[in-house]
Amino acid sequence: MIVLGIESTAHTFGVGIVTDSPNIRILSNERDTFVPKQGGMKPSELGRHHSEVAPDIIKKALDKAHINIEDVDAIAVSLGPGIGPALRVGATVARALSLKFDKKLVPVNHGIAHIEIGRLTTNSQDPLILYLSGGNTIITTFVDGKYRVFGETLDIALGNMLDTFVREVGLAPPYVVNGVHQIDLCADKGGKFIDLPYVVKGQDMSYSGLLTAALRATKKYKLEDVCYSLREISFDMLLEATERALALTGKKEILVVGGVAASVSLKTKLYNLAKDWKVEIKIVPSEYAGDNGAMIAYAGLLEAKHDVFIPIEKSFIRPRWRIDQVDVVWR
Amino acid sequence: MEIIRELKRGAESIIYEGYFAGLHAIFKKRISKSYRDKELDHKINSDRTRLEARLIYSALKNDINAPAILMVDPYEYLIVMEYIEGKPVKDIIGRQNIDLKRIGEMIGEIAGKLHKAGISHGDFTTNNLILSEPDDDIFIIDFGLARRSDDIEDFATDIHVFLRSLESVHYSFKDDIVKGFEIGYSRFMNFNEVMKKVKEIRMRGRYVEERRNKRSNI
Repeated sequence: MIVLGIESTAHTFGVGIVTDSPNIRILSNERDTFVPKQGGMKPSELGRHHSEVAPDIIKKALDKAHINIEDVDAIAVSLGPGIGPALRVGATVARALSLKFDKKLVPVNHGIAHIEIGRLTTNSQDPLILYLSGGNTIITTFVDGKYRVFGETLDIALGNMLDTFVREVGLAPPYVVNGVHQIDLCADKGGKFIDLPYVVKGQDMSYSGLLTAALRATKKYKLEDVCYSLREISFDMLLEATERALALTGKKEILVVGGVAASVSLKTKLYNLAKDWKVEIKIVPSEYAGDNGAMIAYAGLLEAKHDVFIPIEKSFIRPRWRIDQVDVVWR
Repeated sequence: MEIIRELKRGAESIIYEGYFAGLHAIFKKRISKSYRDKELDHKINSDRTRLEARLIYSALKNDINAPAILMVDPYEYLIVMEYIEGKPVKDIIGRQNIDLKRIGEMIGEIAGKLHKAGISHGDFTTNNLILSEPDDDIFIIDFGLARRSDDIEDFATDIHVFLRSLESVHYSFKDDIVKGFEIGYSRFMNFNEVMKKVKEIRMRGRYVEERRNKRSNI
């Protein structure tokens, strides 16, 4: 079976192709990421970008996989969660391909796709999962047919919080330089600890108050020290919640997926935590850390093999589709 | 003061079993984290040691089943307290011959008494509730994240966290336990009022669909 997957939940339009014969292989993974000239992402601009690059990315993915669209068995598309105008482009393209070439359509949850590509590429068995991206901060693990959310952010995501901070203080864009986030570049020049709100509620985290307090602190303290304290506190909150999840679930692996998985300073902290807990840290390779089409294709493949399809007239986008709403029939 | 063995490595502390002045005791020693900034680490650990001791004492005064405090040392991040003979609720839930509804009721009473006394526990999970063996009663431990509060938001957070711990580990037993919880909790607090807030908190989670279904999603 060959599945073509389309990703367009946020800033990236991506197309990946995955096969399972003779074994599971990713045949191609093409993408184009929208970068605003200034400020944050405007939903309407995302939609325009995605519709402009879509035909070219699909063609590139097919060429790289050395197949024709006729060879594909099913079209997988991430219907959510994400930004409406961005999601609509992916959904429209997927529906069109499905109709024109008579291929079945597979609905994929973007978060589940991040998790499954992480499990595949790191060969994890039954990990505790940290799903950390621009829009998500979730601690989850598989129990009774679903990925249950053990802890999550109660307001903004960790990635979003750090991005907003560096943008507001004038360090970004670009948010990442040579693979290192601006918050790390700035924090490494500081080191004096400033007291900012550290908010862990049980196993959930809250980052919005921390962001406000940090922005305010820049008027009083050296920016580098604020960067340092903000990074330490925000990561430590996440690690504390992670330790709680480890204590309750007793898992022996931690799988980190999503764009924030690339952070060097977070990795260092996680490896330290792993030593204390004697657990293994598995981090999704950077090619599959950010949003990509291959993960949608792979999750789509898992679903298609268990006959999870969706009729076109029901293939609504679901901007608020939580991972714990998905029946994980393939595990 | 004599430590016999390490019992458990928790999320933020190591729990030892031992004897203190001849009494069977628990030594709760907070751990310095290697990943954490030193200053932040000291602040978190000493503040939490002090606060935890105060709140356990306050719980005891309000007739709540919590371990008696024997000694506190905020510089060593150490609390010595009474040893409660028994098992965490987390470990006994799946067993046969367990009356889940009654367990839920006792847990509900503890939560209700805590909240009535103005204490929010902060980590009210099945891992921190102990079923004591000789007298078959439930005790609440680990006040590490507890704080004084009269805010319904904090009470609702406790219940939210408790429900989460049931959902993420003991999903199939949840309903019976919650039925009992409601009965026990209602003896001290207005269950429905707090549950309304719990629902509100859940709605705040990212991508909750009920929250926004007005626009068409085609």
